[in-house]
Amino acid sequence: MQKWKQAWQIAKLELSVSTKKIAFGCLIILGFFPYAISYFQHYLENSVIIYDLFFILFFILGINVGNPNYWHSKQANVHSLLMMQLPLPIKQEIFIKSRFIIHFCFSFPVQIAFLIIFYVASPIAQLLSIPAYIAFAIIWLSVNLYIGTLTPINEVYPANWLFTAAMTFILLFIFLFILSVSHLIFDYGVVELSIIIAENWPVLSSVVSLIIGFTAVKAHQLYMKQIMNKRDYF
Amino acid sequence: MTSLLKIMDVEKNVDTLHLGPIHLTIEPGTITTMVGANGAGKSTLFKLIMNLVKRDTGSIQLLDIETNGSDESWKQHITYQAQTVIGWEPFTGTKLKDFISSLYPHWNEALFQKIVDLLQIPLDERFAKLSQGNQQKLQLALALPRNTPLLLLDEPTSFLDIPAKQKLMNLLVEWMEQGDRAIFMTSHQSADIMKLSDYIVVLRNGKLMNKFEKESLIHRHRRYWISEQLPEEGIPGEIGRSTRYLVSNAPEQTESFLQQEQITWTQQESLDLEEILTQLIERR
Repeated sequence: MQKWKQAWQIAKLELSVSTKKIAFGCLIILGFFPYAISYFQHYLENSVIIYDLFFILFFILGINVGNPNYWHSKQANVHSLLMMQLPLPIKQEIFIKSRFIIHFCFSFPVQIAFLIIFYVASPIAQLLSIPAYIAFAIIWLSVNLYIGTLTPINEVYPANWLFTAAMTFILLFIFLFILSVSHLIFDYGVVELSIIIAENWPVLSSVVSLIIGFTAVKAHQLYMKQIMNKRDYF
Repeated sequence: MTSLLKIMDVEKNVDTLHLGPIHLTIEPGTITTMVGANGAGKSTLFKLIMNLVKRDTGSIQLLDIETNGSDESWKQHITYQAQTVIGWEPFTGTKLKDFISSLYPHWNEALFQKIVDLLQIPLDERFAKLSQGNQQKLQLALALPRNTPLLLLDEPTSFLDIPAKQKLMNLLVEWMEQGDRAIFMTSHQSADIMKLSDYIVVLRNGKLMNKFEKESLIHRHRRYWISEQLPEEGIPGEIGRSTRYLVSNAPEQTESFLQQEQITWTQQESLDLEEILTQLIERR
């Protein structure tokens, strides 16, 4: 915990100048809220794949789409804060954790806000009790832990915007494939499946999601360290 | 004397440049300037020291700690000022100072304030909004007060005006007087080198040619004005000639040869540092 506290001190520098980025990201994401709420009934009746896709992307990225750090610095072909902080006496582990904290700050608050509004404004309250809905929320917030935490790793990749754009399209294609398989095999989309799982196995699904999530956070930190130790920062 | 920095047989391939093998030590109490043409590998060598660029072979130790090992404590003992800083743009000088000073236990706040006052650095403007000269002043104001034993400066005066350069040189001299410290810098400004350096390191196409003591380097480079015809074959120590003069980096051998051949010189003089550096950098 002490290390996360130190990482928070490092992350605070970037967050202190991120108000505009957060506001811009929120503005983009605000368009998603009414869609997710008003189309929910339609989704349940018609199992629309695109609804699943939006849900997944929102719980992976949060408002990171409004965070220019998601894209690499053109000048250094790398995340600019990385170039600033690497020569300073900040332990690599603390630095990596600070990047994860930045990602969480750009994702969890808006995701939690959405989950609260979604329960109040959409018909999901008729399908799930509060404990089951908490399990539903944990399942989706865990998606951020095990897939969303790939976003900070993107910052240390030797990549440019073309690579990032290409990776985004590849990931979209993979998600669409998985979603299509889900619809073909189960006849449900992933959001519907998560509702069924949360309703029937609230404790088990929460525990499993969190175990996978926290394991992934740990593994992704090690992976990020490996990449950083291999690549050159000119 | 224990070396602050030991670079041993370091090599690195970067695109078309093969850097190394580099073997170099930096001792406390010394200022060493690395000179070389653009693209010779000077900035890359600094990045290798900082482990920003990973070496292919060799070892770099700061206070006996390997800089690519698991012990990251060496970073407490070194300050690196890059030629172009990246990532500082959104922050004001005050914010940068608060952040950087919190990472260094021996931060000297009084020195920071002194440099800010002396160089008239605006601290409330975002780094991106500052002129290149003021950006460089701020970088220096945030580098010296860290009080680390080793200071790596990559072209520290390239954007400074003349008065600021003079003030900086005085600050660096004062900074050196405060303890067992060393500065390892790159510069294309011969006046900086002349005033500050104890040693000069020449890097040519990625190869470290030598580490010279500045005074002896100046002492041993001489120009002889000659009115007679010089023999066509090479003269001992000769590193350049025209129809009227001969340049040597081994005056004793040259003079002995000229006397033996009964060639007299009308005048001899030391080369200025800029000429010597040009010779060293461009010598084939």
